[in-house]
Amino acid sequence: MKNLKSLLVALLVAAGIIGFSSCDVTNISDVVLQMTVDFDPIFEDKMVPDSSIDLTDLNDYETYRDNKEDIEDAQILHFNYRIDEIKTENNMDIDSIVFESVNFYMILTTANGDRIPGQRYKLGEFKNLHVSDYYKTAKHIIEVPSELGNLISEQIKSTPYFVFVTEYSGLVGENVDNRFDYIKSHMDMVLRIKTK
Amino acid sequence: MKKIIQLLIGITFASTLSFTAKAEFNKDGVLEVPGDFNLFTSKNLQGYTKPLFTTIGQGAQSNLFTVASYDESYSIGMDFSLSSTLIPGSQQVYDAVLPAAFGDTNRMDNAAYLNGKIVRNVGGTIEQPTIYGGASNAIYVVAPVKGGDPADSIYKTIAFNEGTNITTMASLPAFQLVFGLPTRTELRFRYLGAPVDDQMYSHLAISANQQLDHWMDLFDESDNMALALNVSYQFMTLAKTIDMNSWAVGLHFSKGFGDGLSVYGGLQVEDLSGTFNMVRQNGYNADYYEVDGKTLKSASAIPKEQQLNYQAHVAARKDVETNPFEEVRYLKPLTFDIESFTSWRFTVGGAYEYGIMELHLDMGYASQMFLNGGIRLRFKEWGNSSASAE
Repeated sequence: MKNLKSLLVALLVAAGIIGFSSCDVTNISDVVLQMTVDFDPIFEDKMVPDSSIDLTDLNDYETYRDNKEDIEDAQILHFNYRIDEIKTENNMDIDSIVFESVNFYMILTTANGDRIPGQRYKLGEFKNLHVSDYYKTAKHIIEVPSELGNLISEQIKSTPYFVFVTEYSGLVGENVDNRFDYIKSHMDMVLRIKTK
Repeated sequence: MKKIIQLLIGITFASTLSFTAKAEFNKDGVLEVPGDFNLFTSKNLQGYTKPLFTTIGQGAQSNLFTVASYDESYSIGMDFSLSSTLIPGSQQVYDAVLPAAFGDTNRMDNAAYLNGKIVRNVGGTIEQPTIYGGASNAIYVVAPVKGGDPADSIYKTIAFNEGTNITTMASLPAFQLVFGLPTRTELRFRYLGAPVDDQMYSHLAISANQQLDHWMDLFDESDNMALALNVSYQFMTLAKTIDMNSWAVGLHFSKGFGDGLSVYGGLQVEDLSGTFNMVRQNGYNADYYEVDGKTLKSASAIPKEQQLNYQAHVAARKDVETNPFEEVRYLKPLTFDIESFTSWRFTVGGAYEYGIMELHLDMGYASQMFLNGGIRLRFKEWGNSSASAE
C-alpha cells in the first residue's frame, strides 16, 4: 500500500510537471501581422516587349513604420495582378490582346533608388495571358514560394525600398498592334511580419 | 516576485494589451492603441481574443476545491496553483465579419487565397485565426465592376492578424488564502494586483465551499466520502479598459483511501462577462462630426481648445481613409463584450495530504481541457475535536 501511495504521488507530481512545462506561453508575446502593399505601375506609350516599374517605400505603410524596429521575420506570401485600363495605339479589341507571358520581378534598392547588385528576384509569371481574363478581376493570385519569400524577407529587413517590375512579352499572333498608349495595372502584395 | 507576477500577467495579456509597446493609457485610463489595430473592428477583435478570455476565465475558476470533506473547525491556510489548458481546434478560428459591400458582385469583385485555392466573391464572414490559431487569409479586392470610384474604400485589399500557433496555454497562477469554519465551510480569497504601465491590474476572487452530505446522512462516516457545494465570484479590472467578472456554482464529491490519499470530482457551471474598452490613437470624437456622424466639421467650427486634437484626428484619418471598415475609417473606439466559450466543466483529480501540506492535481473537461495543480498548506487549526494539524 505504501509503495502504491508513493507511486501515485510520484505520478501526480510527474503529470503536473509534464503538463505545465508543455505550455506554449512564450509564443503569446509574438505578434504576426499581415500587411498589404500595393503597386500601380503604368506602362505608357511603349512597344512590347518592355517593362513597367513602380517604386515602393515600405515606410509609407503605417503597419511597417510602427513595427520596423521590432521585425523579427518577414515573408512575402502572395500577390494579385489585374489590369484596370489598357489601350493600344490602334484601339485593338481587349479580347484580342494576348501576351505570350507577363513576368514579375522585385528589385531591392537603396533609399536613393539605386539598385542593390544581385538583388533581383522573379516572383512569378503568367503565360499566355489573355487581357480580358485579367481585366478588373481578383482571381489571378500568385503564391510566392516560401524559400523565395524568406530570401527576399532577409533583404526587406535591411532595406524598405524596392522596385516592382512587370515585364510584358510580345503579343501572340501575326500583325498585332504592339504599341500601347497605356497599360494601367494594379498589384496587391501580402507580407507577413512577425514582431517581438 | 513582483517581476514574476508582472511577467505572468504580461504574458497572458500580451496579445490584447501590447500588440506593440506603443499602446498606452490615456488620461481617462483607457488604453490607446496604435495602427496595428486597424486590422480589427470591435466585433472581429472580440472573436480573435475570445479563446484568450476563455483561458483567463477558466483559470480564474480553477482550483476552487479539492477534497469535499471539510473539518468542523477553524483553520487558516494558503493554496498556490497553476493551470494549463489545451486549446481545441475549434477555438483556433473565428468567423471574421467582412465589410458590408464584400460579396456584392454588383459593386465589387474579390478573391481570397485559402489553402492554395482561390475562392471568389466572399461576403458576410470568413474564417480567420484567433489569437491561438495559425495563418490568416487576406482578401484581394479589385476594381468596381459596375461604375463607382476605384478609390472608394470598399475596394481595398484587406489582411487580418495571424494567430500565434498555440495549442497549450498557461493561465494566471492562483494564490489563495483559505479559511475553514466549524460549519464545515471553507472560504477562499484570491487577489492578484500588478501595475501594467501606470495603471493597476486587479483580480479579486471570493469563493465558498460547504459540505452538504452530513445534513442528509448521505454517506456512512467509515466510507470516507463527502459531497459539497462550491460557489465563487470574481472580478478583474484594469483602469477603464478591462472590467470583467466571473461566477461559478458546482457540486464536488470526494473519497478518501486513508493515509492522506483522496480522489475528487466535480461538476460546475460558470460564466465570464464584462467589457473591453480601447480607443484608437487620435480617435473618434462625435464633436468633430456633423449630425450624420460621417462628415467632418470644418476647423472653424471646432472650439479653440479642441483644435490640436481635431487636427490630429484629421491627420490620422488620412492614414486609414481607405480602410474598408467604417469603424476604422472614423477611428471609432474598439469596444466589445468579453465572453468565454466555457459554461460548464467536469473535474476529476487526486490529492495527497501529508501533515500541513496537501498536493493536488486535477484535470477537467470544459471548452478548453485543463490541467490544474498546486499545493495547499494549512498553518493552523483549532476548535476541532479531532487532531490538530498545527
